[in-house]
Amino acid sequence: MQIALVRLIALAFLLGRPLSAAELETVSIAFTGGLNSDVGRGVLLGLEEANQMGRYFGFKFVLSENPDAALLIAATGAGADLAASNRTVVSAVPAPRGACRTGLFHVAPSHAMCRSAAEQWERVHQTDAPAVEAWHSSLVRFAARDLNGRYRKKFQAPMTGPAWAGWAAARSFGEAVVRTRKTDSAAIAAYFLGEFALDGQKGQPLRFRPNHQLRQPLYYVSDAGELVGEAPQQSAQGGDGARDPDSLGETECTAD
Amino acid sequence: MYGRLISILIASILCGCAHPGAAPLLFVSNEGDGTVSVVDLDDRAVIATIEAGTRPRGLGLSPDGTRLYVALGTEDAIAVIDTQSFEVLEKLDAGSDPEAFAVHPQTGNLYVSNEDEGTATALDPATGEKLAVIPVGIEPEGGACSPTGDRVLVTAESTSTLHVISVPEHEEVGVILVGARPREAAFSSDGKFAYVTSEIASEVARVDMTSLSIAQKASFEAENVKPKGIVLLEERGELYVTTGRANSIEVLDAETLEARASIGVGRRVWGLVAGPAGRMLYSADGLDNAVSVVDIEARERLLQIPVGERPWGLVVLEP
Repeated sequence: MQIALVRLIALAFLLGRPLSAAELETVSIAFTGGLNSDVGRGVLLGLEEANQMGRYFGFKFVLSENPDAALLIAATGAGADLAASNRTVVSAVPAPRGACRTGLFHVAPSHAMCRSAAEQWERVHQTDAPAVEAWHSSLVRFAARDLNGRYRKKFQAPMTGPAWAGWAAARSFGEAVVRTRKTDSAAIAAYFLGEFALDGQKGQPLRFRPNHQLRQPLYYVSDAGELVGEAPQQSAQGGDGARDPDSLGETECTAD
Repeated sequence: MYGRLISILIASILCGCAHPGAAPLLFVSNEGDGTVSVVDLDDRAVIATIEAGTRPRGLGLSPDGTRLYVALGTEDAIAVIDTQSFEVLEKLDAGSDPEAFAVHPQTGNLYVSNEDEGTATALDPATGEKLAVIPVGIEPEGGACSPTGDRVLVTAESTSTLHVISVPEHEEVGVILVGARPREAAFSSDGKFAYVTSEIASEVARVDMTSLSIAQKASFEAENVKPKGIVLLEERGELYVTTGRANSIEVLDAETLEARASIGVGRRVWGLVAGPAGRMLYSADGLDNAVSVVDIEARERLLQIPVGERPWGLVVLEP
């Protein structure tokens, strides 16, 4: 097996310890939505967890109302309008067509990804597809049980797809800031397109495609709200091999 | 204290030896059916199946080998099992949702990760007393004690952190950022280095325990490699890592982390342990309900031994 070997000799080492509040650099993240929503609740949990990581390495993440914040989580389809040269936006709602902009990233599955998932279901099961979601509160594997438990404990409510997207947006910023030790929008955007891999508790590293869409498994949910399957559908791709999440939606900056 | 010593002495006199055949034993936790399989490693056959409790995962032995400890996640307990009679003697309150733990090599205390509480609990298994509850990162999992006994490592999966705890103070003396979803850790015998597997980042890191920094790391390029179990054999200068659904044991140079070999085993391989004299490796092949026996020198799997449902952890008791 190929192994890429990395020797870290002169790097500033990432040694941490719990730091006092005065020693932490405050990182403001703006949020365009209401906190009393599934996306908003997901953002709150994600920020709390980003802080549990950041406190060891010198960062404190706070929600900001400053519309000019360099880092922003979008909760409306107008996320594309918020993209600006001095800002990095992570959208927690599905991207509208043509939302492929510099500095704008999407953690919620695009409409094209959900369409692909539906088509795969129909091809395999010969029935109309159930709803397609980014998450389900009954997921267990890959430590999804743990994430669902933390959300339920904090909000006494099941974690939905939009809640997961809000959580993933906040954790993405947390991961990028802690790993790069930078807080400026350009460095964060560059990292999202480079080394970044989110542990979205879906069993595989989640990375942004060239079109800035987070590749990820999706879930089929019945009319009764029950989890009935996972996309990509294994048999849609043939064989017992690894499921390729790039079989869902577009990967390049064109038709998505 | 004396009572415990006397009971150990009496047990020694009554039984005379570790168990009837005096063969090395392999204990395997079976997450799916709540049992621990006992394998005679000379005969390579299951000689007993212990009803341990609900969702057994992490395993460990007392320093004197008389007790097997089994983490029972959904019972919030550690089962204490007699390694001669295979009886479950008691279940210790281990704090919420214990998954894995480390046994201190001198004191015999257990360092238990409480996955849903974000804490590690130091537990005296003789009295059941909780000596300390130490806050760590999110989803703590693997633990390791340094051979010298002065450090405990706890991996926290969802914060990608490796927490260094001093013993006996039970204070956090450092936190190291490692690859996403760190699972298990293992020490070198001199305690100067520790190795950590990261499942989602698909990498192994060699941590300098003096400077508390990453000395080397190796990334696996295949997408389905999820490093989990880890065994260091210093006499061979090698590190062995299980890879989940890549169904293999990867062999790395213990100093440089360069790849040396890949050995195919069963499906969704998690736990890993070395046998006596470091000749064989035993892996928990979760989806095969079996343990693979691997000849290290030959780089070859010899056979699979059927065990319970979804084997997870392994430990070897030498006579």
